[in-house]
Amino acid sequence: MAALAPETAVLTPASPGPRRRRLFGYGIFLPLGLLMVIVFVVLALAPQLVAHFKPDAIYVGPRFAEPNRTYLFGTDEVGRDLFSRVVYGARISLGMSFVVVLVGAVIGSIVGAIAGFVEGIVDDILMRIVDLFLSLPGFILALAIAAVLGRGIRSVVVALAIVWWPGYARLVRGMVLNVKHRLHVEAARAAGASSPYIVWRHIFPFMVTQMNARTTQDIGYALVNVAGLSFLGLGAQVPTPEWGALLNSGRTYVLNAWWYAVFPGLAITLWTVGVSMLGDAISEWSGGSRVVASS
Amino acid sequence: MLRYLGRRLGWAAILLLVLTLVTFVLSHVIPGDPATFMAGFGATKESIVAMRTEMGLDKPLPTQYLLYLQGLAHFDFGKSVRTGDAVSSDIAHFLPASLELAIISFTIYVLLAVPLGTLAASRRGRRLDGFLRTFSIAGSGVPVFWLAILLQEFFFAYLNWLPAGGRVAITAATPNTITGIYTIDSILTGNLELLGSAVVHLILPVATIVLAMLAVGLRATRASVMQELDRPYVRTARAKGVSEWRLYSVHLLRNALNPVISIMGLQAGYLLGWIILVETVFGWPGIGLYAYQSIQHLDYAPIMGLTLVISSGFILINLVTDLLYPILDPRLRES
Repeated sequence: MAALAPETAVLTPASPGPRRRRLFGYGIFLPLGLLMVIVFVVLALAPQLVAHFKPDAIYVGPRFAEPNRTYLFGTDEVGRDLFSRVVYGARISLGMSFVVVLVGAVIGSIVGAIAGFVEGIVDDILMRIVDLFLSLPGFILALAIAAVLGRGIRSVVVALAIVWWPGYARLVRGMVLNVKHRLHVEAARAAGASSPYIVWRHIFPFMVTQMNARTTQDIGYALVNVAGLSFLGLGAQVPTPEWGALLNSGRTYVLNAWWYAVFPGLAITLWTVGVSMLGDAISEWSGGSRVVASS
Repeated sequence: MLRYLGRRLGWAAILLLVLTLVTFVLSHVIPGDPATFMAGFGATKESIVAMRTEMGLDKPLPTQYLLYLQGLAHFDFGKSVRTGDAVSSDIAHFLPASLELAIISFTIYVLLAVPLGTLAASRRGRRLDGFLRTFSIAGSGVPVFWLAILLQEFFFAYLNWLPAGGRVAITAATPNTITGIYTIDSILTGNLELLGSAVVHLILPVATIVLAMLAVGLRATRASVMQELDRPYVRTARAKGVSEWRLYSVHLLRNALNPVISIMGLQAGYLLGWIILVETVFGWPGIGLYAYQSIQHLDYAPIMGLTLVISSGFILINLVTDLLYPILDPRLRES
């Protein structure tokens, strides 16, 4: 990248979000990241495998029991088992962040594909809208939108999806512009293929690896945002064991129950690190990029 | 150069306008009807109608928007249902605390990230570099609000070295407000006891923010300096016998800093969101805590006012970052 003219390198602000890390190469990242992600996803799908208590069942143990062999993560102010709550919480936290990224990626990809494929004035208008979104603080906007939509899981997911798609629009537009003049696309067009078909069949396959890397890492960032908004009281409501909401309940008891706020946060951290390693490994494994997307 | 300046300023103005449109639309779709909401529980039909007229909600939407803009121009963000005060005076009251926290944190962050990142790059592959890299991986996954709670648990609940939160000890006399920034006010009035208390209360929130940002800044600086180290001019300078100190401070950093600044600018933007979470944990009485409390009561006027103020801060930071590039890099002034 040293050949890149400094002017363009400098005047294009780096896009927010993941930077590429190649610290240990994908040698360790891939298996470790994959393992962490699989464990979390299995727990989210089948929490009853390891959690022996119902997450909302109160007084399954004493109040504020320290972590021990029965209650691995201790218990809370009404004797609920925190281990069960954290494990069942995986479904909610992971589910919410998954939906945010999915919706964001789908909408963003459609907008980006249209912009890149049609070009001209449509492209200009769509990309100015994307620029507007990317120039405003996403978390704050999501907060305001979620507040207006009312507390609850759905409003947080909708609010985050609204601020999440522009990043994808820019990414996909760049990739479409890169591929659309290649010979096989021209050939398909000459053969009379429709535009949506060309995008789907002849352009999209080139983006799969990059999209995978991006969405994987994004699921981690989305979860931190989901948890952050729930922490502020907007998302999941008590007694839902969403990790951010758990942290907010736990922080009131720092003096008498250190474990309460430690484990939900640990879950968030491990998940974020896991998907980030996996995302890294994917982009590294694909040789950086088959299609270099320039914004 | 002037055209560049003009375009950046124009873009910032457009952003501000769009922002007001967003908050305007959001204020109009709040659950129920703004007038019913403002009139309060058990309001009669007449008082709601009166409230509608008072709030101008009976006028056509474009007119309402113009009136809204006119209000904003006079810092009229509406009234908080919870505190009963004008949102603008609430924000003016809470803003200095947040500015104090943000500015001190960001300054310390930059003063740590740039030298340490440079150091790591100059010791590429050695133990220090490895340590800093490990730290930055681990640090990148920790959510800032959890980090805040962990530090609070360890240094307050476990060690009892530092206070749990707040700005000064309850026993300390409230300072005479000059700037509203306690560290400055206490120095100006020569109140050393207050200064000590203010500094002690700053440690944990500042440490949280610095630690949360440090990983990214370190990595950015390290990567950028390392890239510059491979350039021919570095070899030339070394061949000329330039001292290492001069090589780094005069030759290298000026070239290496631009990408670092763009990342730090982004982080300064994120900081504005994080500060809400950090202030909530530490009970730091700034606009972040104000936001948290307003959210608890779904008090919309402050939420929208804060959205405007914080986003404007974000736009301003981006503008400053954009203007810093040509100042630091003469090559950019030409174009």
